[in-house]
Amino acid sequence: MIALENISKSYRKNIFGNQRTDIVKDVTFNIQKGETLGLIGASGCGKTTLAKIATRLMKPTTGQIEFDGNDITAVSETEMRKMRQQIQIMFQNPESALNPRIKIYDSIAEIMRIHKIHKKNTADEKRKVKELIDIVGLQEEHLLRYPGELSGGQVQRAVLARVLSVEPKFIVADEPTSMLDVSVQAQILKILKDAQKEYQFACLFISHNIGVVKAVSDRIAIMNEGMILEEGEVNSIIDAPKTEFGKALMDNYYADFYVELDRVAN
Amino acid sequence: MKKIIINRVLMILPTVITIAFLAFSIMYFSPGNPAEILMRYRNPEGGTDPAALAHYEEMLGINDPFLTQFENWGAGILTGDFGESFKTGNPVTEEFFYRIGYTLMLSFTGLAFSLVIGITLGFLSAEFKDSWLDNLLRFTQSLKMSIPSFWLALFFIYIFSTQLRWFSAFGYNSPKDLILPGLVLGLSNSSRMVRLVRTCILEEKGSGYVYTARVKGLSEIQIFFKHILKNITLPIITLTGVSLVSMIGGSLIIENIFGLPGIGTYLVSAIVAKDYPVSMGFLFAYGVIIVFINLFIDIVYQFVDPRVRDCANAEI
Repeated sequence: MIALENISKSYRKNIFGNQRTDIVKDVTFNIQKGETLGLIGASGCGKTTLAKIATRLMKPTTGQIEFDGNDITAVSETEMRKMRQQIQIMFQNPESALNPRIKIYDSIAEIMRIHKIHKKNTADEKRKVKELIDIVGLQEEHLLRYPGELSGGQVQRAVLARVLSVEPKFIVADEPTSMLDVSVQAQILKILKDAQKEYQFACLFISHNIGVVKAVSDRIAIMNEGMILEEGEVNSIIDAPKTEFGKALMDNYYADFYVELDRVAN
Repeated sequence: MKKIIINRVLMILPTVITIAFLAFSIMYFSPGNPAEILMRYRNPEGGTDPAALAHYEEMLGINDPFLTQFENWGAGILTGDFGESFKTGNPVTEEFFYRIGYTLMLSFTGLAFSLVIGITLGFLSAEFKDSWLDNLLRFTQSLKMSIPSFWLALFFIYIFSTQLRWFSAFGYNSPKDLILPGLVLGLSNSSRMVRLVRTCILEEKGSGYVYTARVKGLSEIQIFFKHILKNITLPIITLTGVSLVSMIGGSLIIENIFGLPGIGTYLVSAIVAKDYPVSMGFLFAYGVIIVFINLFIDIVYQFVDPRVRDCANAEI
């Protein structure tokens, strides 16, 4: 469904442009229909930049992006806007993910108006929004509120409703649950998984939390300093990482895991 | 919210009293004898007859103590009586209400120009950040800030009136005559607006919801009008208020250059002619108008969602 080949992104370090900083270095991966690739990495390793490149919010410096059989690396913004319906993204911070001055209902429905699925405030649109909030677990009263009047979890549910409303073929979830508490996290991940079963979208799931990635992914890639170090089936990566960085990451994860186990047991 | 508004309204009282006191004392302590000036206006060939002078002094009460005079003038204000112009003999209020319309029309024309120019150029500057256009716009804004408005006015008169003959250079005959002075006023006040709009847009552009809007498939212009503009209204309102105040003040110079019959022109000529009642009354009215504009902005503030992040204290 989506394939990234030798993607790099670099910035000029100073005004003369003779030195460049690489944010993403030579990244290659692909995700099939109905599959989830989990991307693990520490903060600042280029995950979010990669997410923006994969959704073509940003152009890569070099490399190629192929989506649904078409090369979208250098497609014009106007062309890209027509394809936006098929590629959606969820961001990490629920506080800024939705426009604070627009009511939840309009935030969800706007995307359907843009892609001419439903006209503004028609019965069809209202019915569709109602269906969506049922799926993501929001109440009708939430629709008339502003994002500031909802909890982080409720905002992410609304974001998910927006994402699902256009039935995209590819979804990037950039740490969608990292700012939510554990129980809400599990609910949102379940909604995402269930929706994937129904709509069969490809998903790039980015997180620094190995437990979360393990729960939703079919394959896992480990990223550090802009490069993908290793990639493979969930269990093979988590049980037997090949690189030093991967081992250190998993050791930390299990250390945390046993501390948590200890805490629960006592 | 009600409490805050009532509080603000009550706070006006001491401010207005202070303005009245200052307007009165500036005139009281300025050199020259008002009675003598009034006498010369009323009877230009009368010479300096001490008896007549005493009569006028008695009429104006200028031999009373300072506070008594202030009280008399203040009591007059409360009943809407600002005295009569030395020069024309007409009541000051009549002169004022005849002219204030022109000043307000000019100020609001200037404000409209400043908002349109500020938002448009600010948007372009932010949209093409660090491009040649952005650099050019930023350079022109700094240039414009350092050009005095009277120079700009004379320059525009030369270009648009003398050379192109599009607008008249002097006087007021139709609303069209407000365009040129309004443009000058708007331009000289728009620099800060351009920079504020640019800074605020750039700040908002880093927010998740702007990326979300892009993912939805909106174009940059649609994102600006549907999403960003709503979030930067608060700082724009703040600056609009400040601009309006400085425009009513700045209209004094512009009115004089373009010969518009507003209160600025009249105030300047009244000061030159030592027309005391007019000078005091107009100074006081200027102050009160500005106080009320500020009150209005404070009240508008209460109706704008206070949770909206305010980037007004960012670089202006």
